[in-house]
Amino acid sequence: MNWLTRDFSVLFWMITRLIACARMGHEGRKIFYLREIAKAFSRIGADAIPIVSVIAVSIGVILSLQAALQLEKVGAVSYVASLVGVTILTELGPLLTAIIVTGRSGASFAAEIATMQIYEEIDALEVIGLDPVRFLVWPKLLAMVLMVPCLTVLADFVGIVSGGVFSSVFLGIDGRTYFQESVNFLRLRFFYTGLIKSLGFAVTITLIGCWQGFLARDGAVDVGLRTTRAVVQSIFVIVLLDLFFTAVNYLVRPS
Amino acid sequence: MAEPLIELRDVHKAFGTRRVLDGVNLRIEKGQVTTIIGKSGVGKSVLLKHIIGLIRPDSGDIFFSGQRLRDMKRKERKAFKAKVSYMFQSNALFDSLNVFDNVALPLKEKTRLPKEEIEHRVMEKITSLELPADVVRKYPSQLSGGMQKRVALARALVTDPEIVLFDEPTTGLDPIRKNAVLSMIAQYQRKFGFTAVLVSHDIPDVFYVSNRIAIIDDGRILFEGTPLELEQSHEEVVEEFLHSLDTLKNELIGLDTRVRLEKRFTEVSENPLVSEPYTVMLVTVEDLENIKEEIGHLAAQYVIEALSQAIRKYFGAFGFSGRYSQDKIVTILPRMKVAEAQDLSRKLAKEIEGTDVLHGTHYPRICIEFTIDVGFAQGAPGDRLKALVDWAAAEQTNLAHLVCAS
Repeated sequence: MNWLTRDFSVLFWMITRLIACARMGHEGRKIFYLREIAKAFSRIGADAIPIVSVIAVSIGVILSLQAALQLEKVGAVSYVASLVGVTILTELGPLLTAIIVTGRSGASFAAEIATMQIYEEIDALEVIGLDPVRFLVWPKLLAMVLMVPCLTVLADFVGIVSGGVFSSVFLGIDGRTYFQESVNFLRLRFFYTGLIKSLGFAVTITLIGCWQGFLARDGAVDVGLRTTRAVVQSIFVIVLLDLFFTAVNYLVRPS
Repeated sequence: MAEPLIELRDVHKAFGTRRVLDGVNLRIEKGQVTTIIGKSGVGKSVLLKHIIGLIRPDSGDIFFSGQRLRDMKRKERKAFKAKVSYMFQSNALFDSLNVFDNVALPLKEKTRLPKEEIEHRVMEKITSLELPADVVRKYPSQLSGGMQKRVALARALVTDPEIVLFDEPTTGLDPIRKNAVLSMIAQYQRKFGFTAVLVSHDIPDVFYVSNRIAIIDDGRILFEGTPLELEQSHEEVVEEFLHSLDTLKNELIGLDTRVRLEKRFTEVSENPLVSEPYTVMLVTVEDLENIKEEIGHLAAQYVIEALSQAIRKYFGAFGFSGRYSQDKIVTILPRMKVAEAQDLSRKLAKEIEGTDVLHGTHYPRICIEFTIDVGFAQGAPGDRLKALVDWAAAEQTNLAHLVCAS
């Protein structure tokens, strides 16, 4: 049980320091390392645009195809637009974006911090007087909380548009009808639901990635181990969170 | 006894079931270089990290100027940390920052100096550590191991700290650079007067730069005293520890350590079967400090290395040599008279005059003057080495002389 206590005490230490950062920011003290934040924005956000877009196009097309296959049996092909829209906005947009970001950024957070831990760079930050959480975790969290929802919006948009284009070109659904169906059926609530989910996912990925990094102790092998754990644990928690959000959304749905 | 700057009292630390520190008591005096030596994995680095507060003891206390560290308030602890600097074994340079930012980081975080002053101080340290000016734009991964060490040293010293903790500062360096880094630390310590705590494997090289030595083994301090006290100690544990080093040779010059030299000398001078006279030759590099100051530590080490090689070449077959102190090499020549040794030393002089070191290849465009002196003493059975070395020192004449490098 010792390792469990130690591991969770590190998580607790990280969270308390993050809260302290927020408090320091509220008091007007320096909490921003602009260069670190800019770097995090670029790595988490801008660099992920191509892969998120490609996956979103694929999902839009796959969903359109699957929906058309089932709905044409009951003569309801025109509902392809609403099915694709709702699924992407509320589920697949945020979920797939979070999984891509976990693979890219969550893994990189864990590997970066774990390597710094092994090479005593975390200790060096402490000695220099820099709070490692403020210097390493805070910029990442900030960038994730802003960039993951942005990437989710991008995935939503690209997914729905690609579904529409594919449906009109290959499934014979008129583009204007597809658009009209989407407008009629989709609600702003679906969009917000996805965004709230993506915020939760962003915090989860950052905390788990950085936490696993800080837990590294035993050389290069541990860096690999911690990176793997960061990805697996993040995806696990993301799916659980998604279940939780979806259940809450179902329970509080407007009648 | 005066109050030590830092004191560890009965410090215990265990990681899981592994006991690393088992009642460590250690006093670190202000303005001195204290070196902690010991085998690998005995807790030297752990001990150092306790001093700066990176690791907390399971039990026991650490005092700074008489004040218990764990009783310090947040502000006092911050003030204490601002006075201490740490050079990590792995350098711990930040890969995402270039050299300038790495060195400037402590100044940016610990002080409120204006940008220009920070830049001035960083460049001053970079230059004084013999790093090329263009290195500031490079990233740590673009530097050699030796350069990374010097950047780490620059970062440790840039805030002009009162206490500097060096965790194996010479790991991974070749013998010349090892000695250059040790000599740099000693020079900076004398220049700025900080208190240095050094953890090192580099025995006996660290003896020449240390005021006090502490031996750690089995989680306890086995010995604490000056290098001379260490050499003269008759404590069983110390003798046992030194015996394990006995066969060690000075890595840089391939000569015996002072301890081993003295033991071998005793075998010669106290051997009842040896009735013939023997000669003690002392070679001294005068102005070694000046070479370090004017040209650099690396150049000083080149001089020592070249001199050692030449001595080994001409006298190796007739006797044995050892590094007596930083700038002194002593050679014991059994069955040789002073006149014969003097003849041989003239050949040695020619050899040295022909080396790159005395032709200024290592330091072009620098004008510097230094001399290498030699002295001899005729020894008789029962004589003491120190007396003979003092005698040879009094008789020293010029062996080689460099006026100005071209």
